[in-house]
Amino acid sequence: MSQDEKTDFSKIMNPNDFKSIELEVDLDNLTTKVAVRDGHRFYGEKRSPLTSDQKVRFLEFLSEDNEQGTGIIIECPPNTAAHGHSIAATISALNASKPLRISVTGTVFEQETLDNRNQKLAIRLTQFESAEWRALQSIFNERQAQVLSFLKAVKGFG
Amino acid sequence: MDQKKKTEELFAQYIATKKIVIADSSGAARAGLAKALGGLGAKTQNMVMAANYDVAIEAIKSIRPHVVVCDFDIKGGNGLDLLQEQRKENQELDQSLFVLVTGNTSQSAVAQAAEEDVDTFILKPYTIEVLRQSIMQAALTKLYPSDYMKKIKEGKKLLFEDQKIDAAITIFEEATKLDAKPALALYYHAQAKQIKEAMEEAEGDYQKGLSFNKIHYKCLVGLFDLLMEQKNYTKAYAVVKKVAQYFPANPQRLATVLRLAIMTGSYEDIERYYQAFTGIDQRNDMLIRYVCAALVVCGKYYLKQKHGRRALELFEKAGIASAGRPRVLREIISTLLEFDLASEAQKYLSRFPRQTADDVDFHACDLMITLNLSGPSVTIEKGRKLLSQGTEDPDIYRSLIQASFQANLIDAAQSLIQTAKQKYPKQESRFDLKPSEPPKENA
Repeated sequence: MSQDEKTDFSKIMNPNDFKSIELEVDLDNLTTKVAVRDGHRFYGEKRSPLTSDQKVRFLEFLSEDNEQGTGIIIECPPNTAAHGHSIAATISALNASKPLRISVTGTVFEQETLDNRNQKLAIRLTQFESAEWRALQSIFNERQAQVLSFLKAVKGFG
Repeated sequence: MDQKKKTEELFAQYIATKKIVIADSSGAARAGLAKALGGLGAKTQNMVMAANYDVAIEAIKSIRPHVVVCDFDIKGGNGLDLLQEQRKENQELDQSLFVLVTGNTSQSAVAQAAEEDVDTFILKPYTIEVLRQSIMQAALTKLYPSDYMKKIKEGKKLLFEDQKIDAAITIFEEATKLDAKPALALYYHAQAKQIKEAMEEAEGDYQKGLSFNKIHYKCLVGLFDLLMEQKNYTKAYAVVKKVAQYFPANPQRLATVLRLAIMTGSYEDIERYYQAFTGIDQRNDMLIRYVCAALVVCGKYYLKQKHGRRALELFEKAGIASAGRPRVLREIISTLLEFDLASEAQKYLSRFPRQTADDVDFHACDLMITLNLSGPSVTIEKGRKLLSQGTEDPDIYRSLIQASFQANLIDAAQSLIQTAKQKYPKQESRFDLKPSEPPKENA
C-alpha cells in the first residue's frame, strides 16, 4: 500500500476534525474577592457550583482602536462584578494549534444584567503582555481566515 | 465615495427593511449581535431574539425572516437546522442571509455549514470589524452577483424552470469563460449533460471542475451520484472517500464510505476506518452503529473465507465499539450462530448491559444460544415461558420452531409457524423451516 493511501484513511475519519478550540476563562474580581473558575464560584471559604448556563463565555475582542482601548466582552455568572471593579483573568486556549494560557488585568467599564441574571461585562485591559494578546487573537484570526477560504472554495465563487 | 463607505451604504439599504432572527443561547451574545447589526443599519423593531432552538423555529415560522444569525450549537438543537426552516418559510433565497456566529471552530462544524451552503461562518470571540465585514461581504456577494454568477443563474433558469437544455448548456459554456476556476459552471454543465444522458461528458465536466477546485462540493457529490447511478462502485468509492475527507462528521456519508468499502470488497479498509474511529472522542450514535455494522459484515466475510481468527477479532472490536448496544450484540451473536460458533456467541451474551436484561434482544439471543448449546427441551421450556410473558420476537419463534422439530413435536412446530407468519407477515419466508433443517440463519 502506498503512503498516500495510508494518509487517506486517517483523513477520512480524522479525530482532529471534531475538535474545537476551547476557551476557558478564570476570573478573579480583585475588588470584591469573588472568583469564578472550574465551574465554581468562590468567595472566601465558600465554594458554590455553577450551572452550565453560568459558565464564562468569551464573546468579543475589543481592539485597541476601540474608544475604550484593548478589551474583552464576556458573559459571566450573576454578581461577578460591577462597573469600575478590577478583574484579573486567565484565558486558556485549548485544542488550538499552539495551546496558549495568558493572564490579563482590567477594569469593568460596562455591565449589563441579562434576562437569566447572568452578566455581560465589557472589560478594558490595563495590564497584559502585547505579544501574548496578539498570539491569542491570531489563533482566531488565522482560523477565521481558513474557514472563509474553505467556504469560498467549496462554493466555487465569491 | 470610497469603496468601504459604498459597501456600508449598500448593506444598510438592504438590512434596513429586513426581518432578522438572532438565535443564541447566550444573552450577551444576542445583545452583542443585535447591537452590531443595528450599527450596520438594521432596525431594532425588525429583530427577534431566540434563546433556544424551539423559540428560534417559532420565530422563523412567524416572522419569515430574510436574515438569520445563529450559533452552531444552540440550546435544544443544531443551528444549521434553522437554515432549512428559513428556506422553507422564505422563498426569496437571493435576498436571504444565513450567518453562523459560533465558538465551534471544528472542521466538522465548518464542513457541515459549507455543505448546507451557509452564507458565512464567523468565529467567537470575534472583533466587531470581522463580524461587520464578513456579514456585509456575504450579503453583497449574494445581492450583487458577478457576471459569472449572473450567467450561471441564467443557465439554471433555462435548465430547471424552462427545461431548455441546449440553451442552458450554451450559457454554462459562456459562464466557464468568465471565471478563472469555473467549477460551479462546469457542475451545472454536467447536470445538463446528465439530463441529456451524455454520462461520459458529464463525468468529464465534474472531473474538470475538480481539477480547478478539488474541494468543490457540488462537483464531488455530482460525480459520486453519477458513478453510483452507473453502478461504478470502485470509482464511486474513491470519490466518496474524498468527500468524507473534506467534509467530515457526516455520519450518513461515513456510512456510505463503509457500505462501498464492503461492496467493493475493500474489507481491509474497514479495519483502518475502525482504527481512525477509535481516535474520535465525540462519536455520535449513528457513527457507532455504522462502524459496528461494517465490522460485523466484514467479520462475516472473513468467516466465509475461513479466516476465523481474524473474524473473531473484528467481532471483538465491534463488541467493544458498541458499548453494549443490544442491536449490535445481537447482530454479532446471530452471525456467530450462523457459522455454528455458539460458544463464541455465548461470550457476547454477558456484554448486554444489566438494564437490557429484560429486553427482547437479550432474550432472543439467549434463546438462540440455548438451542445451540443446551438442546431442544430447555429451549422449548424457556421459549414458551417468554411467549407466555408476552416477550415475542421473530427469532424467538424461529428458535422454538426449530427446537420443536428437533424434539419431534411436529404439530407444535407447525402451529408456531402459522402464528409467527401471522404476526410477522413481512418475514414469512424466515419461518418456512422444515424438520430436517439445521438451526442456521438466525439473523
